[in-house]
Amino acid sequence: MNLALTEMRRSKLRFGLLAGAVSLLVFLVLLLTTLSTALVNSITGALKGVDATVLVYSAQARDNLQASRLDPAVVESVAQVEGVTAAGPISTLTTSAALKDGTEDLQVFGFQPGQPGAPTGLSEGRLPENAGEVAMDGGGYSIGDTLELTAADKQLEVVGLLRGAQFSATPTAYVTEDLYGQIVRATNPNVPFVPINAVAVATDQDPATTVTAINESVEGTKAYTKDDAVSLIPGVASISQTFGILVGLTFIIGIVVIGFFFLILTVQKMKTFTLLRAVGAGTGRLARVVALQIAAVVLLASAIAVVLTLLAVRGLNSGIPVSLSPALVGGTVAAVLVFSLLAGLLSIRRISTIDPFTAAGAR
Amino acid sequence: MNDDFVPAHPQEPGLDPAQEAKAHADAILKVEDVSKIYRSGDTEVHAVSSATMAVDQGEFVALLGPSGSGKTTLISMIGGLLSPTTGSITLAGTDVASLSKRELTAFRAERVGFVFQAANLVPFLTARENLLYVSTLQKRISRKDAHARADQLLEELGLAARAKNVPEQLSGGERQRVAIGRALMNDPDLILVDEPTAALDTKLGRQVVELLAREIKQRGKTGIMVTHDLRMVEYTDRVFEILDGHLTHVEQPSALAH
Ligand SMILES: Nc1ncnc2c1ncn2[C@@H]1O[C@H](COP(=O)(O)OP(=O)(O)OP(=O)(O)O)[C@@H](O)[C@H]1O
Ligand SMILES: [Mg+2]
Repeated sequence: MNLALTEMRRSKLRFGLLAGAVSLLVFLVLLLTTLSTALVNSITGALKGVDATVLVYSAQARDNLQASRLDPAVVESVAQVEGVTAAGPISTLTTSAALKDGTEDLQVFGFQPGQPGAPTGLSEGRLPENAGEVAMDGGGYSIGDTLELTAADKQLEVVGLLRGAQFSATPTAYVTEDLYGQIVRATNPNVPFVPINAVAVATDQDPATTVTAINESVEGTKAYTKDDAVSLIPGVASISQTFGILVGLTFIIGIVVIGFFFLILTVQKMKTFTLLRAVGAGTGRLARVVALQIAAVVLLASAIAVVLTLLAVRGLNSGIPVSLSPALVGGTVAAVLVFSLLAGLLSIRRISTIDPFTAAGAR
Repeated sequence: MNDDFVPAHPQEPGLDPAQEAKAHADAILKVEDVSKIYRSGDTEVHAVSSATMAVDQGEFVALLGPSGSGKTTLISMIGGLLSPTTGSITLAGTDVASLSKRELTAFRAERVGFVFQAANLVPFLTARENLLYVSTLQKRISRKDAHARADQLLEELGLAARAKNVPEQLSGGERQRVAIGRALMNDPDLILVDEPTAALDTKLGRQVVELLAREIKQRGKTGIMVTHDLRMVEYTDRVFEILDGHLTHVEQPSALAH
């Protein structure tokens, strides 16, 4: 016969309301985190997924890939730097296309097949190998479809599909550097050369060391580790921070609610706890009653919250790919559980101060 | 002071408890020269002073005295709820005063059955669960035996039909009987009962005490019942009188009959 669970069974309304309130807070934490991750991924996915550990922009780019313009010859200079094992170009532009899902904005990335700078995150098919092929993330395409670039007046065959490889939350097409040049010249026939945006670098040493080496030896460029480059993408820092504050506050409110609820419950039950101490229940045993009830409430609330989040993620198909990660659920539930149990120490401290003799007094 | 306390007027003056204790050399419970002083700030309350008494195995005795005379204080020390300021208490060879906090907790769970003056039951457990829960605090009685024992006790106490009710659905007398069942549940050496009839009318009070006496006798237990009601002592073997913290006499219940 378990005291903790029997009490919960007898007071379904009380514990149910608490679990309901906590589940809404856990739901908010899960949803906000999922959305912010999805949002950040859709902005940064292309850069995060680049097959390289170091990126090189032009010195005037102010840390912004799209503002960076480099002569393709820089690839060769970067490749000479000590510690660099391979280097390849990354080029990107926005153009218009007649996308299958009805939208028109398309982000295009050019890369040199087989060199750093190629995308990762292929979910189906393969990467393009010649100037007639494209790999897509977004826009509603399947393998074998035709992508129509309206501005450049080109028809391309979709040979691969990528996931988590979008940039600026726009459908993104990956093409060879050759085809990229043709797209640029189709709209600007007079350009003297087709500039690239960045050099992607593979290195056999610590990326930070390579960054320093490139900065010292290649004039007019600025190198970044890929992680730095990703977090410097405009908007990412403020999105992460804003969502971080919301998630943190919600989390803290949840813990405070649980802590105070159980403290109130413990104070209300003081007479019962005193009686139990008097008839031979140890403090540890009573502390376990509180801990078990907290764990039960948190687990029940988490289960409800996961269901709510799944429904919300499904119902809320907003264009950017959103999915609830099991690691996030596990981490959130574990964190709520640990901190709730810590908040439960408020109650346990009260229990530990009980003088069992009080039970003998005439109230 | 309590209005319904009737001072005892025995035909013959009773014995001195300390003298009489010598005649009970192999008593299961020995209280020797026990005192309790409550200190709060610089005031001292001498709640129990130099109490000496001995109770034999199988005896059911009463502790009779007016309100504030130290009855609850004395039985709390005997039951390991309160440590004496001086003196020694021995229950079946265990020196209660020498036990650690943790050992006292186990002592209360396994060796003593309490029926307190006020709150006695866990409000969110049924009558049967109130009995079963205390059995989880000890190791001698197996879980299976505990279920059978709880059912048997409830039956004997006339509570079989109320086993599934929570305390607020029970009458005062029924609650008191559940508390008696709870006290007997772990097969303790000693049953300590504090004013079992305080909240009951005389008729119901008598029934509860009679039942208590029967259970204690049937099971060969040792019991101490605190009361300030002279009418309740007829079910006991001996009566210890306490006044202002001093155990004054031991009487035969018949000597106190009115
Ligand atoms: N925790 C305490 N601190 C200080 N004094 C106390 C404490 N508990 C009891 N007392 C005092 O000790 C004396 C004996 O109290 P006790 O509760 O043992 O009396 P009692 O005989 O059980 O009375 P009643 O019949 O009213 O229950 C009283 O004067 C009481 O005020
Ligand atoms: Mg009392």
